[in-house]
Amino acid sequence: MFALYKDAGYQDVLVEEKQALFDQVTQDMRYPETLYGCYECGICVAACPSARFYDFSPRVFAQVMAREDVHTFYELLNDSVWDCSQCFSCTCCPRENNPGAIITIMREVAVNNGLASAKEALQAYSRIIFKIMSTGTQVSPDMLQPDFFPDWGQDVRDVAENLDVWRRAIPPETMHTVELAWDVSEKTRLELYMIWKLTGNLEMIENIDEGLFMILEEVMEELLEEHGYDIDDFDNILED
Amino acid sequence: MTSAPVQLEMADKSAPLKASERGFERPAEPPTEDLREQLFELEAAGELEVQRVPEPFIEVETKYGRKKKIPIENTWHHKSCGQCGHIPGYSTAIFWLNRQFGLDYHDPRDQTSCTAWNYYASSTSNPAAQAAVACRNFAQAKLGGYFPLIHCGTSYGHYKEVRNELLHHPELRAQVRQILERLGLPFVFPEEVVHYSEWVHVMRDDIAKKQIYDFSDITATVHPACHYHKLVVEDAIYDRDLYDGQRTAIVSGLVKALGATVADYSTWHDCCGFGFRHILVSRDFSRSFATIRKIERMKEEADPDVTLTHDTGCVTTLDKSQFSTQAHNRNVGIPVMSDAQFAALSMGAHPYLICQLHWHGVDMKPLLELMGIDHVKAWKEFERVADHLKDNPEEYLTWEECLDEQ
Amino acid sequence: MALVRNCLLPSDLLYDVPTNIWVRELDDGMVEIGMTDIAQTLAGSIIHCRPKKVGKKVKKGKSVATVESGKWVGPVRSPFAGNITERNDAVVNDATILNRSPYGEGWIVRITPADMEGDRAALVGVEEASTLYEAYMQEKDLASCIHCEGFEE
Repeated sequence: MFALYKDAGYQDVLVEEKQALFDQVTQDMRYPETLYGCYECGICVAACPSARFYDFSPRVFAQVMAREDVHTFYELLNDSVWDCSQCFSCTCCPRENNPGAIITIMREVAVNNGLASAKEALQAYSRIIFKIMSTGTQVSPDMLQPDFFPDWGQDVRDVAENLDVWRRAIPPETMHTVELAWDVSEKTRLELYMIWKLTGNLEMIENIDEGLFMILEEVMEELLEEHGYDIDDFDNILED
Repeated sequence: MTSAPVQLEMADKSAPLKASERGFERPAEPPTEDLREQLFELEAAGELEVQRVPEPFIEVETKYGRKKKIPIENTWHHKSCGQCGHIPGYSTAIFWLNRQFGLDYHDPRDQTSCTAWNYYASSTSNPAAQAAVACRNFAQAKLGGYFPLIHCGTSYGHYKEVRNELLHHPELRAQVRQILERLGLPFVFPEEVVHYSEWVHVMRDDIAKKQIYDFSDITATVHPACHYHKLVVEDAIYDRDLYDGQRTAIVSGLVKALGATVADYSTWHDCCGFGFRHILVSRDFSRSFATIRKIERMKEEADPDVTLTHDTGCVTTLDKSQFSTQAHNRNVGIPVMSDAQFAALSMGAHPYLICQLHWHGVDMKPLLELMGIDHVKAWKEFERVADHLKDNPEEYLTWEECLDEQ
Repeated sequence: MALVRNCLLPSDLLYDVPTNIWVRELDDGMVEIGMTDIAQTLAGSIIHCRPKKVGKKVKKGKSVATVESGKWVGPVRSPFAGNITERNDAVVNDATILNRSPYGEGWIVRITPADMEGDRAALVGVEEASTLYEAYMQEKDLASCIHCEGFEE
């Protein structure tokens, strides 16, 4: 079978498995608008920040998908798909392809299928997922700790040491918070949890981090119960 | 037999034009469909409601020459996680600017993050969830009677992407409708997706009228956010008078209006290196890219007093990447802030109580001195406030107290 | 006290190595559980610890508390099925206790086990724990444990 990289890795994985994952990408709702054919001009590579520092090329992604090369696809899916900066500089493509968007879909397929490489890529990222899914804000002031951001400098140390006072010394009322970026109302959090359940998003997390899924489910179940809802009443509508 | 040579009409070779000097003509018709019209069609078909931009608004031109309405007030401030969490002076400056002009705005608690930082970092989500999150926010804005003004470049880019997906996929609309019905919320989408820097852009002359510090000695480089002008390109503001309409006008327009100099540099179009996931867990990439492709180029080619941008991730990456690279003797050391903080400072906003510059990494003091701002006095005022808050754990700084300090 | 790659493992405790939990059997038939030295090293500076409420019924392997550090969040998994009879409010107010005194002040909950003998059988003593932890740390590429200022044995 054709492969762009003659020495494409994962030779031991069945081609049917690779094909199945490839098909999940091409059958995604978003896929038709990501690829109109690539004539290998490389303009995307010139614009790409990740291409400068990683062994990564948006052109190769477009080529691999266009040529239906499932072998190289599988290797990319397990490796360089996580190098992409998702900046979409590659939309400078004269054919209006969007390699960044192909990669967004590929990553989702990797997560949905619980690939070991996806778990590894997201290993150090678990608190961020917990924060965004359970509170409705992505980062929080109390994340500015010297041991998490040692390379950011003295200001992180200063913030961490003065966190409580410095957060109270900000005028907007909604920002008098330490554990969230801004004060999110309980009703809003409830609505967010319902969205995660109705779109199967919570179950997606179980594929990559079972411990994280456990505590997320508990947090959501508790709040829903407090407001008279049963978490089991919110089935994934995407499976209909 | 050869025929007579053909006479070609050649341009005058004695005066070749540089790219920057050549005239730029837009095609008569935009090469794209008008997405607003498509939204109105869906509304007419009863599929969703389109929230109109309220008056007063100012019209601007976007990339292909179409007009875009930018609301001046009655805005629902869709906040940014990274701003509110790590760069609080950025959000505060946006609110402060609105307050200085006496504009009615809403700072909601019924707002969630767009969740797109997570989406682009990890893809641990899907289009239905993302669209539902977006539309839930828009529904709350509509119910509150305010029009969404987006603080983050990625929220803005992502919501444009969501708009495209909703317009092109009826099955997605059906899913979102089902979810919103379950939540008891209407299906609403705003007529325009508006970024706060577009508001700053249309307000720039009014901001300049209230300017109290002389910025004529200040040179700034501008960094445009990728998700503002690359992720779904058409909505961005392009202005004939700025870069001859060849680059997006936001931020640069403000700098000029305030009398400062915009200095160009060769990697203007490059990403900052934020990377979404990289900035959190693979920062070697982000800080290398930001330093080598952006900061060092700016330093070498423009030597600016400040670099300005209009997005959370860009401020974070450009600012925080300079500390460790300094230890490697790289050519760094440019203060980084948002257009909102720059505008606020020009109008006399307190550098620490409002612009919260103590949350930034690169030393701001030389820049503040150049602006004519007494940072020593300002920091003493901040310390007085902080000491009071330390002794009174139940108290918070209020807007009213900030006005007293100025 | 055993020492594995600078990680402390008290001799009087039982361990569940895969979930990084230690167990102290108390005189009144209850058990006290907490995070091991390895766990606190992996987590980094701990910011929050939220044990479940007293009276809550727990299943074996399920979470009795959530622990958050700057970069990590995860469950404290109970090796026992039973009821939570006490929770350590001190760690709720100051989660850094878990880093400073993981085996002493940093106990997280006390449980009345539903099947003491059955669930206890899955735990190991300090000698076997030492061997398992050596392999665990090798696999995780963890060179040694990190002890903050004021760390108590």
